[in-house]
Amino acid sequence: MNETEVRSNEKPRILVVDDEPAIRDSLRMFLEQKDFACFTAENGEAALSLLSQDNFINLLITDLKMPKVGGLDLLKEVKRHNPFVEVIVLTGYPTVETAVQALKIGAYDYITKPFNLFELLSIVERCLERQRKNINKVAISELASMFEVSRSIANSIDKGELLNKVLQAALEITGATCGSLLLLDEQSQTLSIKAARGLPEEVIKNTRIPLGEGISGKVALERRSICGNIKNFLYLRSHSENGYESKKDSEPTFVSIAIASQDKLFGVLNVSDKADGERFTAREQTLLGILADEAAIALENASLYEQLQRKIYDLNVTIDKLNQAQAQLIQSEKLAALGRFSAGIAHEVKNPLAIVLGGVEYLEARLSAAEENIVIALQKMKEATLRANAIILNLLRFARPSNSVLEYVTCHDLVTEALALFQYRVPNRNIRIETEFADDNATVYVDRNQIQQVLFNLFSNATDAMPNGGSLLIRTFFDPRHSALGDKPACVMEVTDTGEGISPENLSKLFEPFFTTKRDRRGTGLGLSMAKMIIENHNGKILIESELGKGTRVSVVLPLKERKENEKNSNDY
Amino acid sequence: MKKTVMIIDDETDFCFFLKQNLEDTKEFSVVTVSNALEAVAKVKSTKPDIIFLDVMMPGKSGPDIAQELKSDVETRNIPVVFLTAIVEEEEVNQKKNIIGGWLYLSKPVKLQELVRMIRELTG
Ligand SMILES: Nc1ncnc2c1ncn2[C@@H]1O[C@H](COP(=O)(O)OP(=O)(O)O)[C@@H](O)[C@H]1O
Ligand SMILES: [Mg+2]
Repeated sequence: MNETEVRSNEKPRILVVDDEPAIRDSLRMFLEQKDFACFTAENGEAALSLLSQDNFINLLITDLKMPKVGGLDLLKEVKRHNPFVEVIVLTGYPTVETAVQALKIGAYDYITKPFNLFELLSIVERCLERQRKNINKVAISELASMFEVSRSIANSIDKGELLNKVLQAALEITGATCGSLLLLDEQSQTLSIKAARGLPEEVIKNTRIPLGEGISGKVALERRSICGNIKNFLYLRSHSENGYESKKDSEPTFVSIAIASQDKLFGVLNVSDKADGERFTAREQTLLGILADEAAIALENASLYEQLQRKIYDLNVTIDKLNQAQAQLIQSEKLAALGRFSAGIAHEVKNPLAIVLGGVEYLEARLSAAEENIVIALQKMKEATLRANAIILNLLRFARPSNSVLEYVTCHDLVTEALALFQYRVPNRNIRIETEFADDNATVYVDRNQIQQVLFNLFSNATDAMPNGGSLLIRTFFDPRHSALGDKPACVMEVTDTGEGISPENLSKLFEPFFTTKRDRRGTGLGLSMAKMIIENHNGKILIESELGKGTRVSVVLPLKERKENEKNSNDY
Repeated sequence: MKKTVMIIDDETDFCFFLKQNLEDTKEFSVVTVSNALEAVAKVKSTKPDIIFLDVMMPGKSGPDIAQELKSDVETRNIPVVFLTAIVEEEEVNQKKNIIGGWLYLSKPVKLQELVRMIRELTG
């Protein structure tokens, strides 16, 4: 490709559109100082009226949010009148949507306010450079169809669709019947075919060209174009023979050109076999060059778009998590408040109830000989008093251990069930899991689901702490006098890992809601604070010992509670 | 001889009914104290056989009074039962009646419950 550049004698003309006078003026001063001709307008409407007076411009730098005609509309309008005008978008709040939209409509780049003038300058220069290349290479009339193509390319954000459009455009521009578009796989550093015309299916599927090998590999590695005369060019997987490159001025039967931006190689575009049997002209080669540049920009945009999509997705995941966490917090906060509230109410109500009951019993003693109606009435009053008391006790029971379902269960069962769930959900990352169960049948009285949630969290934390593998030991035992429970008998579940350990200063923060060292791994910092809340609701304790570099042991201590023979909940009042 | 029961509670109506009801059984004589600050002196002068003690009272709490009685040779052997409307633990409802080494009864309490408790402790 002939890359001679013809510099224009005239100063490049730049129109700056922004509703903030300070930005307009500072940009104008700066750009004029850098030897550009600079005009300004305060909004899209003013800009359009300026342009309608036949003022030619090379570059438009525009704000997005402006009164009257905004930046996006201005951009559309300007591109419609003159597709050569390059556009750089300035934006105060970089919302993903508007940025992508601007790029789709054909903006060259966007820059967020506040910006660095020199950064802007380098974007301006790159942008004008591209324009010069394009305009100088090809006569305006030849570009008419190009711009149709480039606009539709710029509009497609879906990668597959984009690649097909580029290839289709290459074939249309040159009249070739065969073509392929190869993209670079960053990891394996090989090229594979992502879009093709006139090629057999197995060639499309199986072609893997290492960078530097064959024509495509060479074109890609050196980021240039090669053209020449080879029969069945596209069928050849490797072109090790030399001599395929055509001499200057001779007209080749194939063209292979790199798709690359300033700092990134995307792939290679190949065309061959013109329908009329003719060769590719210099003009067609130039057009392919421009197309390859357009494709590179579009691919860059597409990958930017993908990145943005991923960011949006991540953001949504985070928001979901936050919402859940908030709901949980509100829930537990509410329950705690309800618990306090009910305890207070209970006290206030039970005192007068005691007086009523005393009064009724007083009357009963004195009126035992009265008529039957009175005795029955007193009996009913007494029952009602006791019922009111029962209601209050029920309210307390409901409010206190956050509507948990309590049952007698051994620690052995709790651990095995949680572990089964954990191993099923979490892939074994080189971690050896060992268990040591006490052989007694000591039980605790707990909400099974809540305790399993706690254990699950502890297992996750332990495996998180051992990214390079290690061992996870889970032990249960009975302690007749556990100091954490005031020397009362306890059942203990211990989760010990050989992981990275916890620093002394972090050790004190572990139970703070939202404390996490796993920001990069999507930690929520709620695992341990929830665990603490749950265990303490069960009148238990959760203890952590850790040594940096050695590992961590978390102990869940729950009060022993043996099931009584023929126990019944005799809460008549 | 009738056993003497002392009731220390700031709810005078509660004290009144309890006194009447217990005395109606003809088994006990009852002394009530509704000013917590006078409680200890009243115990010493009355020397009751058993004390029912409210937990939350203005001036002095039930546990404070109980502590004081326990640490005085004159009064340390008098059985003390808390009568409380506060429900701290399920045990109270399950009539195990013992929390932190003290005996409890939960308000409202039925007369027959009280009588049984007095008989057991003074028997
Ligand atoms: N077994 C462990 N080994 C090392 N660090 C741990 C362990 N368990 C917890 N931690 C530390 O405590 C922090 C808080 O844990 P947690 O509350 O479960 O939230 P999360 O796991 O989401 O970060 C973790 O980010 C980690 O730094
Ligand atoms: Mg965790």
